[in-house]
Amino acid sequence: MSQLSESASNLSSKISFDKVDILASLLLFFSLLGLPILTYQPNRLTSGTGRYLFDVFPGSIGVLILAVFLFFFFLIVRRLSVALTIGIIVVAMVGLFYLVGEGANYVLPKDAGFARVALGSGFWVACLALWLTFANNILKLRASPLFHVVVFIAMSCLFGLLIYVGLWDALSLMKEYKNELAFWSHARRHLFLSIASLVPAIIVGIPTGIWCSRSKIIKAAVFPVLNILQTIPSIAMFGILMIPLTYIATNYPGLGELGIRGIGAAPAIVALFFYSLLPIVSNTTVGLDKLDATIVEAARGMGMNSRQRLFKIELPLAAPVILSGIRIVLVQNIGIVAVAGLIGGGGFGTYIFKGLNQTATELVMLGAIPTLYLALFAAILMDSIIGFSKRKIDD
Amino acid sequence: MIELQNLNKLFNQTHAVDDVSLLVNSGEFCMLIGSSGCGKSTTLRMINRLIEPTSGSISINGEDVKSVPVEDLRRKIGYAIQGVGLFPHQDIFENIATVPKLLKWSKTEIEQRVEELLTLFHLDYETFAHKFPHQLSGGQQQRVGVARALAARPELLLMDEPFGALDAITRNYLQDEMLRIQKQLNITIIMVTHDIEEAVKLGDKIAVMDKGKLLQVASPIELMRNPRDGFVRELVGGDDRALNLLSLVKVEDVMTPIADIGKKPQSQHLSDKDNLRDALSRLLWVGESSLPVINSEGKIIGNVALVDILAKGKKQK
Ligand SMILES: Nc1ncnc2c1ncn2[C@@H]1O[C@H](COP(=O)(O)OP(=O)(O)OP(=O)(O)O)[C@@H](O)[C@H]1O
Ligand SMILES: [Mg+2]
Repeated sequence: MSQLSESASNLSSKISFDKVDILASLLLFFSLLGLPILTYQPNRLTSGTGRYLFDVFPGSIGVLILAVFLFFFFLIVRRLSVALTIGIIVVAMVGLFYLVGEGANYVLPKDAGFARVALGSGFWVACLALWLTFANNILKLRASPLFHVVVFIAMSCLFGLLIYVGLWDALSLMKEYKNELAFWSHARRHLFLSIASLVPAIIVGIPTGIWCSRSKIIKAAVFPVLNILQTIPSIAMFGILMIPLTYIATNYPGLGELGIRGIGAAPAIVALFFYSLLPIVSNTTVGLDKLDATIVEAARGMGMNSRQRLFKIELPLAAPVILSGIRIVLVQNIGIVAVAGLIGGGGFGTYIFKGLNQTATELVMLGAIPTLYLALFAAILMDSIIGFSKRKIDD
Repeated sequence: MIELQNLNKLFNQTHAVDDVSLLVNSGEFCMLIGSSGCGKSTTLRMINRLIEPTSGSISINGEDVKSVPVEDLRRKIGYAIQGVGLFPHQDIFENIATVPKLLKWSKTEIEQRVEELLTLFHLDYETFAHKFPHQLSGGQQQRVGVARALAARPELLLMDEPFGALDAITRNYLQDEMLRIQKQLNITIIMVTHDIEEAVKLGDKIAVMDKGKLLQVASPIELMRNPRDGFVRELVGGDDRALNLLSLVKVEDVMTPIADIGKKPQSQHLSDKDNLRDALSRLLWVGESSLPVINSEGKIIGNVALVDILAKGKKQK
């Protein structure tokens, strides 16, 4: 009987597939077959026409490529060892990157003129599919939180290098990049704005959160204000801030010279600061309120004063919750900083709004893709830190 | 010596502690017993000023607890809590070292003390010192909790139902440990419980509380023999009363000594340090009316008969 059930479970483990991997592989396959991997634009500002895999690589080459990806699909679904599967997925990703980069050369006429080739929806969906199965398999390794960060950086370096050596030079995205000499200064600006508002928000938010957890009255006074701040749309917030900041700049020229102006970085940082407060304050308060009362009582009973309790017991134990508040804020800031491009704050948002004005989709992409990338990196980094802070507290 | 004088505590309308006066001598093991919500924890927590009394006073060795800064007071009093309350983010070493660190002991002193305490509680230093609380069983956690309370060599230890959440075997074992440690360190212990068996087993003195009032303070035997009418009688006067009484007496106190000491025992026997409750149980189980008694060296030193035991469990007037 037990032998029977054992062989049955063996059988089921042999034919059981990982749902995510299958879904991703199917998505990958059909996106390559059924969606344009590239789009062709006669000039920069016209909307393009799709180019499918078989348009770009006609005949036997196209079939070969599809066959290779079918093989990848097969290998991924076969459930080899997790490490091997991850290796195959990375190879498939590199293949996909190479495919679109090389394909752009085929699509572009020799005397290109104003013609452009942009990435098509097929590429994006295929990318998403591969990322999905990649993340899925990485999680299966159950590695330390730090490992995820290392993997993300390694992947960034790999694909950064591919682009750096010119794999994508024929693509419109890279042409926009080469036109925009200020790209890296905008990148630094974007990072600076995202973090510059976070630091004061932490410095103000955590003590406020501690205060709120100590006193019901303070809590009742602080939370409605923060809630209202949070609901003001970012554009409206920039508008509201312009008035006092412009006033300061015109009446105190000294301050204006330091950058306190109605447009630019100042309103962006102030607005982001306001948005950052609620998640940090509320997570700090909740983190402290939810602490096991017996632990705090034990600390009190052993003669720790309130400062010792706070720093040695309460804050370390509430750290995962407080850090998730900071994670929310960091990812949220990276998104909102893009909007700051509209008021001359700089950052990747500059390209998004410039692109929207010129209806130049690839310029929008030049702003949107790095923003997305930064947000993803911030999320993974913070998750790793949170994971670390949790490790000792529970298994 | 700890003295509570006319202690009162009101929470809004509830009179949680109602005019309690109690004297606990140095080196005494005092059990505070009563049903749930009767004010035991509140009384205990007023001693280390986790709760301030509405009125009344507490003194330790003649010194009012209010005369020293509250943190200093607490560092001098061991406190083991209902539900352990170990710090989950600190390992066992750091947990035990809490109060010594607050008192700024030197590193080597702290290390020595932690090792000493783990040994005292039969926990291997190498195995346990750097484990985290969640890696320990409930019984081990509770022992660490008590070790932590004893870390700075307090003369007074307050314990609030420390063994409440443990299974019967572990609880029994830890109770024996507490008796041993209390004798060994010669400290004063005030322990809250709602289990009369525990109170009888551990206490030199039992203080019975009900609805905030202290009803009777007496030694276990005195409490069994002469409980006050009402709640105390109910508490000790259950079907187990005779058995509880028996558990207070050792076999050696009722046995009939025999002349030719030193014979090897047969298969069934009792040990001189067993209590009469266990002895009775054994006699009934093996179906004998009397059994030989051996000492710690395994030699027969006397006999105990069923009738001797039954006489001890009878109500005495
Ligand atoms: N902080 C407080 N605020 C209001 N009422 C309280 C507070 N602490 C205790 N009480 C009340 O005081 C009474 C005595 O509580 P206490 O905790 O001393 O009981 P206890 O004898 O320890 O009970 P248990 O065996 O359940 O632990 C209860 O009625 C309880 O509800
Ligand atoms: Mg209690």
